[in-house]
This record gives sequence, structure tokens and C-alpha cells, in this order.
Amino acid sequence: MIISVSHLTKYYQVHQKEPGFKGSLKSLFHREYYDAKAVDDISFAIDEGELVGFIGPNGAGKTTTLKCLTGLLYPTGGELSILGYTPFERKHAYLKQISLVMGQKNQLWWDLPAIDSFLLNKEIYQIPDKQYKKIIDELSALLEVEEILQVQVRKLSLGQRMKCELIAALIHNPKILFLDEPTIGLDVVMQQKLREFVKAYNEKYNATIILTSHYMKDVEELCKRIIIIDHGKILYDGKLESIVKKYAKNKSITVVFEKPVTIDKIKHLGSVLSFEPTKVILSVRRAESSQVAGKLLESFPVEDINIEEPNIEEIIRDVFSNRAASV
Amino acid sequence: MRYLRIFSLYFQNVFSHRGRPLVYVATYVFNSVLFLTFIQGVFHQTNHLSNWSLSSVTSYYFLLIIAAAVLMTHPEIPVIRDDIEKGELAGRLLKPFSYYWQRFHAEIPVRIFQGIVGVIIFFLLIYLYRAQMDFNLSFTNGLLALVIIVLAYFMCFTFKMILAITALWTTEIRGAQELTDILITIFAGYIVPVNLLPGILEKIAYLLPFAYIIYYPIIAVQGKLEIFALLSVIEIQVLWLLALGFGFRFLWGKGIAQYADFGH
Repeated sequence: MIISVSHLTKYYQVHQKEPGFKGSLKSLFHREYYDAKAVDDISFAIDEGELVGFIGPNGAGKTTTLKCLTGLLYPTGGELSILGYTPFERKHAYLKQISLVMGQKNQLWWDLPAIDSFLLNKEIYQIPDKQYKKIIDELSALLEVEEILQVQVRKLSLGQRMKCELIAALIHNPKILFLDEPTIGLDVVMQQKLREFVKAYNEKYNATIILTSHYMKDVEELCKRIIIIDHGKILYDGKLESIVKKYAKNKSITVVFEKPVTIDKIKHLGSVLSFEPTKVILSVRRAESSQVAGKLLESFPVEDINIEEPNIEEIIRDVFSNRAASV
Repeated sequence: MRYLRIFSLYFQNVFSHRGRPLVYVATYVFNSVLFLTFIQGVFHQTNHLSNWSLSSVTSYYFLLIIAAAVLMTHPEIPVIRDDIEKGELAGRLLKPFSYYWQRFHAEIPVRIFQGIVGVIIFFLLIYLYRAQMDFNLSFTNGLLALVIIVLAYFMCFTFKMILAITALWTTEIRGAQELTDILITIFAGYIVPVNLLPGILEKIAYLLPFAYIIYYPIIAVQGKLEIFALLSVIEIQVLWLLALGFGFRFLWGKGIAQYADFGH
């Protein structure tokens, strides 16, 4: 295991003030605090080369977990071992093997070309000239940014900047890459390019990558394994495809008929999600989906039939809403 | 070589912000010229003020411009504004390079740039004022003055870093910054040379670190201190530096444990 997290907890002390002037006056002399549980007793392990998606709504504890893993935050409790190091000791030998990219923060010098920030990282990480040249050539080709490396960072588009941020974060060839919403604010084309890059990087260098994103597309395309977190607790940790079997009780069947049919003849087969005389979408229990499809083919003039899993985003929304209902 | 290359890269960044250092130097010039104007008024009534003549006090205020430009470091501004308030500290903490030295490398090119501008203005003012400079510096005294300047730089930098990292607890420390600026203005020798401060203020000045950052380096360069006095200043500077260094390490350890950058 390259990453091992055991019973990690992180509480923040949050100041609570009574509303109004009286509350402000009171808080001058006495402040009340409560413990906000950002991460609440989570455990997981990640192997070398895995690409894991960390999913959760705002305030779920994703970024806090990432910051504990990188060593930016001291955990309140639990044990963390990454590459055999305790992250919050932030030993240089550890820091040379990891990298954190935050979609909304940048490390590049604003008024200089990106290449100067790369050179600074080269010196900080003590990368030999030959290795530096090789990695810059490879990464800039993969990200198609050869032409803009000499351009002042302030003149670059958000997408171009993000690509350069990625290069800056990868110059030292980290074994573990933490990506915190790397595609935030990018247009769909740029999102796709970044996803392709992350995938290629993972395959080429066998780097372990932990990704948080609000865009399900990022997770669907990149991660075989996902960890769903909400209110600081892990709701699901497993294969992306298994979440469908675990949480999606139904499948949807879309049927197009050659001739119009009436809803009365259809409705006993499942729950009707949408109906037109020549097209119907039914929701049926997953175990019965093949049987229902057979009945439809036998009893109706079917032109086209399609059995689909519900989309991941819906399933995850269900996971969160079930959790919210149970809290 | 590595540190030199890092320094050189930070220097390039300073060139891209050349306007900002120039504005700072301009403020030092106006302050010095203003205080010099007041003290020149005093010299209309007398030829000597304590151990100061008009020419030595004039050279003091002109040297003050260079001292303020080079020695009065301001790492607290980017530390508070960029690293703590904007949350860029996260990225810096994950570099295998100590935060103190990252900030040191970022600050020193600014000081050198301002120092060069300060020296140009110094000679310009000598020409404009037709001033006679009063220097009396031997080689040994010059070397010791250089040591005093280097120690003063580290003292100021470490002191300002301590001030800056208190923002890890409070975030907002502008009040503390302004208070410190006032104390520095009075006790570092900006208004008048420290030995011209009235009674109790002079005594307080010798107990605080600020005189060892500005006042003593200037009078050391002017050759106003004998070797024994120079060594004594160095001794006190070293003690201050040790205290500040330990203070920084202690507060940094505590502050960074406290640091909680909540999500984005």
C-alpha cells in the first residue's frame, strides 16, 4: 500500500456568535467554539498506480482529507502513512515525491513566463538538467503548450494556465499526485484535454493519483475506484461500476414502437417514466429487466429497444440524498 | 550555486515589478528629507548637537535612505496578503525548501534593487544639497560595519517574519503592523539619531531591537563607532538574532499547527 489512512479525523474549532449587537458585545469577552467535524473517522488504503476519485458535495471533507494526506493539516486523530512517511512532518524527502494541484490556486509567477516558474521548481526540487529538459519536453508535448512557455503567465487563458500549473506540479515526477478540482472553470474542450492528460500521465509514469472533482465526467472517465464522502464520513469505497449494482435498484428500458400503443397495456410491466404513443421509457427492477424486455418484444411491434443503467450522477445523488434522509 | 540560481530567478521577478520598489524608495526619500529639514532648522541655532555636526547629521539622513531601502525588509506584506489571506501558503509549504528561506530569497532581490536606487538617490541628494559628507572609516571598522549590516538585515527579516506569522492565529494584523511601524519610526532612528532622542525614549530605544537595524548600521558606516563599540553592537545583534530565531521557530511550529485552510 502506498497510502494508508486509518481512523483519520480532523475537527476544526469554529467560533459561534449569538446574533445581534448583544452577541457581538458578548463575543468581545467570551467566545464560544464548537468542533466542526470536517473528517470523521475515515479509513482507506490506496495502491501504487491507482487513480482514485474522491467525490462529495461542498463541505463533505474532500479537500480537508487531501490536505491531511499532503501534510498541510495536522489531523485531530488517526494514523496516516504515505510512502512510509507521516505527511504532517513534511520531510523534504516526502515532499519531493508528492504534488498537489488545486484548481483555484496557482503557483506560477504572474508576471513572468511559465518557463521561469518551472526553472524555480527545478532548482527547488534539485532536478538535474538532463531530466528537467526531458520532462519539460514530454509534458509540454503531451499538453500541447510548447508555444506558450515563453509567454507571460498573465497573458495566458485559464486553460493554458492550468496546463502550465500541471507541468509545474509534475516537474519533479511525483509518485503521488493530488488533484483538487483540476478542471474547475475550464470549458468542455479543455476539460477533456486535461482528462486525457491525467490518464496518459497515470499510465506512462504509474503515478498514484487522487482526484476530487465536482464534474462526474472527470471521475467517470478517469477513475476505476471511487470514494464517496459526505459529512466527513465515507459512504462508499469501491469500484465505480460496482456502485451501480449496489445502489441502482432499477434499470431503464426505452422502447420505440412501429405502431402506436396505449399506456394501459404497458403500465403493468414497470413504472412509466415517460410515454408517447410510439415511445415509452420504463423503470424496472434490475433483476426483472431481461424478462420485461422479452415480454415487450413478444407482445408489441418493437422497432428499437434499449436497456440502460441509470447514470452515475443520479446514483451518487441518490446516495447523498439517502444519507441526508438518514441523518 | 543552487541558491544563487534561485536568487537570480527571484531577481527577474523583481524586475517585472520595478514600479513598486521605486515608490517605496520615494517614501524613504521624502521622510529623510523632511526630518533633515527640521534638524537643519535646529542647526541654525547651534553648530553642534550632542556629537552631531550639520554635515554628519546630513550624511546620516542621506544614508538613512539607503538603510531603509536595504535593511527595512517587508516580508510580512506578501506573507500576510498572499500566503495567509489568499491561501497561497499551502503551495509553499509543500515545497522541499524551508518557508523562511523561500521568503528570504524572494525578499533579498527587492532589497538589492531598492538599495541600488537608494545609492543613486544618495549621490543625487549630495549633489543637490551641495552637502559635505562626514565619513571616517578605517578598513577594520568597514569590515565590522559590514558584519553589522548583514546581522541587521537578518534581524529585521526575522522580526518581520515573526510579525507576519502571527496572522496564522489572527489573520488580520494590520493594527499590529501599524503599531510596529510607529515603534520603528521612533526607536530605529528615523526621526532623529537615537542618541538625540529625549531621555527615557533613548533608554527604551537601546532596549529594543530597532536601533540595531537602522541606527547602528548607519553610524557604523559613518565611522562614529570605535572598534570596541562595533564589537559590542555585533554582540547585542547576535543575541537579538538568536532570540528572534528561536522565537520564529517556536511560533512557526505552533502557528502552522493552528493553520487551517478550510476547503477552498
